[in-house]
Amino acid sequence: MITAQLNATFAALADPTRRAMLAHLADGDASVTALAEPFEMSLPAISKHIKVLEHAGLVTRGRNAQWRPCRIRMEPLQEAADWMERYKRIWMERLDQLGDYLQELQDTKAKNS
Amino acid sequence: MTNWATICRNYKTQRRKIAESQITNDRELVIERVFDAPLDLVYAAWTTPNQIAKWYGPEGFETTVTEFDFRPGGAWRYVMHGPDGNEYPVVGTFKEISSDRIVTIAEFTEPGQAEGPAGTILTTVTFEDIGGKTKLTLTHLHQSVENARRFEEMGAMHGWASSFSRLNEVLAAA
Repeated sequence: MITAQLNATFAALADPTRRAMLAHLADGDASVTALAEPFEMSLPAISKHIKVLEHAGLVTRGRNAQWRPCRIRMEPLQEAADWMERYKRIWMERLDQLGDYLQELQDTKAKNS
Repeated sequence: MTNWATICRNYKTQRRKIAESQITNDRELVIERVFDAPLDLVYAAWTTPNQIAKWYGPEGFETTVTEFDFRPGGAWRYVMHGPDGNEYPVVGTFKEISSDRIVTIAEFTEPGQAEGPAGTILTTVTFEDIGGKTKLTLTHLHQSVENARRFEEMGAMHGWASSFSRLNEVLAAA
């Protein structure tokens, strides 16, 4: 089943700004200002993207420091990776079977002709 | 394909930089396969219900195609009969079927799961003739509800546009 968590993760990853933010955060914690820097976007718009990442559990905000740094959380990404990997296996198996089936079809055809 | 498992591992051990393109890649699965069979044969295996039943299910499963309305917006439903005696239905619709044999399939369930998720899986399959063999490219993308809805709207507009162009053809012929 696609869990609510997976949905939230994929929905968060659907946006290029948010993907860029995650790539930035993978380099280390960053302030909202630092995250906003590469984008020509208003601060409220940036905040909205960070909120989406927070709700999806992909980003946490520091409590102590005044600037409340953003930090990446890898667990939901790992879960998404596992999901993709599972699907890859399913399709690989399916295509193997399709290959066998096509071979059978052609062998039968060759025999009958 | 880079995967998140590797990225996560690297991140934990070395805090290696993630490129944005890697994140993009990991939202979709792309599989290429060349079949030693002519294109017509491969395409038929994908678009004929009794042929799908031959290869779709996992090993040891019997697949029955109970619904197969092969046109844009048409529904499909396969039931996989497991060795344990349980039935696992999968359902979806055909989103787009283009004249150059590009088929986009939406799936609302996952194999092995009876209940419907809140998201949709979009699988786009292209078939290409390469000197008598067939190259199949499959792209598998998870769509959140929000994105799926947007896609739906786009699809509806696309549908209307093609209806209109058909109408024009009919009118021109009259």
